[in-house]
Amino acid sequence: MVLKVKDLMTRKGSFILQNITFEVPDNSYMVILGPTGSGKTTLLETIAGLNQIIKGKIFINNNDITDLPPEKRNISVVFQNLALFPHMTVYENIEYGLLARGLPKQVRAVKVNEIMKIFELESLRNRRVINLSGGEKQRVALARALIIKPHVILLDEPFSSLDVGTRKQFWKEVKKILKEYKVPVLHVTHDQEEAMYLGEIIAIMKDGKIIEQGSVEQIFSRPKNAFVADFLQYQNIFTGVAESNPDGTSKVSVNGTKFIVNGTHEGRIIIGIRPENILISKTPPEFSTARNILRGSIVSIEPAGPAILLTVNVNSLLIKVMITRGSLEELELKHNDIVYLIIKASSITILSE
Amino acid sequence: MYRMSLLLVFFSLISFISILFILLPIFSLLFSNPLEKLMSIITDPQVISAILVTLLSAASAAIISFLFGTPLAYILVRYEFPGKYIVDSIVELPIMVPHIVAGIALLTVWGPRGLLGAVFSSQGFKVTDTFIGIVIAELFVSFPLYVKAVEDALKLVDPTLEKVSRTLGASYGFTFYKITLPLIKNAIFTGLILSWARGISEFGAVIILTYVILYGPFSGAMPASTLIYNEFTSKGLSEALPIASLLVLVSLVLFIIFKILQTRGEVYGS
Repeated sequence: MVLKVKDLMTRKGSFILQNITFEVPDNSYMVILGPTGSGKTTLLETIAGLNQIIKGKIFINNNDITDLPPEKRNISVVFQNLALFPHMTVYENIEYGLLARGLPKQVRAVKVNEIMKIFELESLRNRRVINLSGGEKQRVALARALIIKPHVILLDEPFSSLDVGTRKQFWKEVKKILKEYKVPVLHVTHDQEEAMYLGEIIAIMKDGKIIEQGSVEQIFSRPKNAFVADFLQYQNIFTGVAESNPDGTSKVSVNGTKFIVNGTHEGRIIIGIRPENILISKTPPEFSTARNILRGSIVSIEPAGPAILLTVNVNSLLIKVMITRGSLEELELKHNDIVYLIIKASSITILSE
Repeated sequence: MYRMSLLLVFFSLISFISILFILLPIFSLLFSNPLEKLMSIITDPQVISAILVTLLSAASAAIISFLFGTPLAYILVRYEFPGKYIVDSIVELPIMVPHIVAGIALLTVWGPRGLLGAVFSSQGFKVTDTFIGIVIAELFVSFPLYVKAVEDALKLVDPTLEKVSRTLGASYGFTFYKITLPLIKNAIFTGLILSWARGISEFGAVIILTYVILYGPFSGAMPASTLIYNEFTSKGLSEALPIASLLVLVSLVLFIIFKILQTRGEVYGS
């Protein structure tokens, strides 16, 4: 099955979702990544038929489903709060879609038992869903969504209620199960790590629009858009003026600081550098293939989870550098120390506005 | 800690006074009757039919509230439309109108020369001075209580549950029957009890529409509250008291039974 969304436009209150075009190929996993309030849930609800469409078309295998009611689309949704029916048992929750389709009791029982085995839910069959743990609820919601053999499955931040450890364990399980079901998945989240782990295709959403889409590698390593780079924690995003060099590189001047970037560029340009792509040295490196070696002084040292984020002042340009705690101790870096930043030209991404 | 316990004592005292304020007249009413007097009116056909009319008319009004009030509450909670707050206020209007005024207003609609009453009269169908008149009066005053009870419960039902149901292949109707309705059944029950109780206690609007049932079923009977008023004004307190006690007793027993049934049901949050 292939899900195609073409030039979709919808409205929810004063929020407008527009120019949404993308395709989820058969048996592939697409993640839409975006900050809270960017319209991710509205998009899923619209695809599921729960929102009125103003413009555009939705196709499943080239069949236009734009005007079909939700119950005729065969698109399952797992919402952020999972929305398990609180007055039903685990068995009844999973059985619900089959019941709604009017399948005979015996057929329902066979199918429910089969999927409960896959999701290891047999021992919980008569348990009320309000008495389940977060992980168990998650499995029931997925089993309920998959039992109807949907054309497409839509996941709306379904792992957000789980703790970090359980969440990562779940990613593995879910990816494996969904691959076995050979169903296209459209997953929305604000979690980059989740997107990176699960997604094969990534789209970035902002203010009701998809502003960039591509493979995981493309989006995370070479984003084209400044917002995307900022959202993906590039942290060093600078606007400068480019001048091309004869060797196929360009010199970008940012407030007097010069960067060498790959490709020939002229005029106003935005560049992005990930803090973890910058190396640091206390002495000027003698032999290096890196094209950019910048001298500056440390203005702040802040913990950033398991790592350390340094802010280095290079000719009044503040550059963020991510290093390990080990490197900080080994180099004995302190406030106001003079350091050299080593940046490869290929680590500098050219961004659009 | 000392301050806290002092506050608790104060609150407990206030609560005790409040409960006493409600219970005292009820107990005083129940226990100020000689038992033989109470036993004699139990077999009085006029009293029996009055209590029966009151209970049945209030139950009919409650059932009509369920049939019309449930969809109305659903629309008011689930959908946004222009004038929604006006509609919501209209539903509450009967709570604010003095009941005697409600009766007069109903008369202008359902009376023999009223807006709808004239049409029904011309077809030989009477509303005033009938059992139906009592039901209409009780329905008018009890309907808002039912709608509000169901509205409050619906607000607590996560709309995502209904959305999921639709995406799993269920129609609107199936979703309402299998998801929404079971989740608000307690509130529906509470709403039914509230509107039924309100119907039983209604007097002002009822006497305007049907003082005595002159036509149709229960012909010759009076609603209990009218009978009590009638006995009180014509014969005095001693004659009105036992009937009032009996009405309170029957209502209390039924009310307790319903409450027990309700608490046996489960309450689901969402």
